[in-house]
Amino acid sequence: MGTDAITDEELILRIGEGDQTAYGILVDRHLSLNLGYATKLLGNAAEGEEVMQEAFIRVWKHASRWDPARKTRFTTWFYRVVTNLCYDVCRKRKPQSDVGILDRMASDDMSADNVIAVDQRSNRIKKALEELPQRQHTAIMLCYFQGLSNREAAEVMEVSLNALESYLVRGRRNLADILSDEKNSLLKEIG
Amino acid sequence: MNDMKLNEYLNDYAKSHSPEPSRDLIDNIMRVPREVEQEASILSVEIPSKISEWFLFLVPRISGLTAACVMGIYFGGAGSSALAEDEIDDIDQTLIEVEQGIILDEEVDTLLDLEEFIFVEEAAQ
Repeated sequence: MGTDAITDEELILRIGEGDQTAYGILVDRHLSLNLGYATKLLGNAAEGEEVMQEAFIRVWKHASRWDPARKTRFTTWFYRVVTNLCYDVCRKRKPQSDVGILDRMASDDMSADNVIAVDQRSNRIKKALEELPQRQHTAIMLCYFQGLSNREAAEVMEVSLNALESYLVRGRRNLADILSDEKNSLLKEIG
Repeated sequence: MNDMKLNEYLNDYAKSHSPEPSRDLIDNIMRVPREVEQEASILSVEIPSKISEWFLFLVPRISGLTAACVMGIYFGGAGSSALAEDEIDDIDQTLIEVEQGIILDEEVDTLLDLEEFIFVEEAAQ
């Protein structure tokens, strides 16, 4: 039987019994996708990696307490863990939240050449996303970048479907406003 | 900014901000099973859930019982206006002594004076 045939929920049960191979398969399936999510949510690759490491420690530690009777999907639970860890990181760095985007980029482990090479448009989006309220930011990340359905994203965020849809609508509107304002101010600066 | 433009921006962002995990990260994560102990399984799950069920079962009942006891003590016990048994004895004793003319304390004097005064007033009328 190929590893693809085994569901995440079966893997987590095996991990609970101390199966390291199952753990490896689960890491292989979820690391990249969730690392991208954490990095985009935090706007920082190094912090994203720290979050992923902590998230997988939790998977290993708590796997034995996984209750299949609850019928929770592993993906939903894992996104929730990663999201909460990202929120914790944001909370801890709150006093420095006024630091400008360039300062923050310079503090990353990126070389000066890389900083310059980063695509300008993506940076504008990154900056605009960081200006959004946390919940709207998370909703956009889950639905647009992680490809979760609205229902799944609502489960991850532990909110109702209506609330999630409201976050999405307001998030998109705010994002468009921020980007438009930025564009206008740039145009004004130019001439 | 229209929706199409926004989607285009979001797609660009998704492409440029999806880092591949570094070798270090993968090594650290794969080392977890060797370095971190798993939490104890079945028992640690079952006992807390049963305890929580018992807790939920007992708390309202214990609260109700306690409230009933407190109210019982409050309403059933001696109120502030009721006289204690030894106080009643004192009064009975005083009355007996008055009837026998043994002791006339100040209060009894006053009462007798008042009765005498009323009697005199009535006689005068």
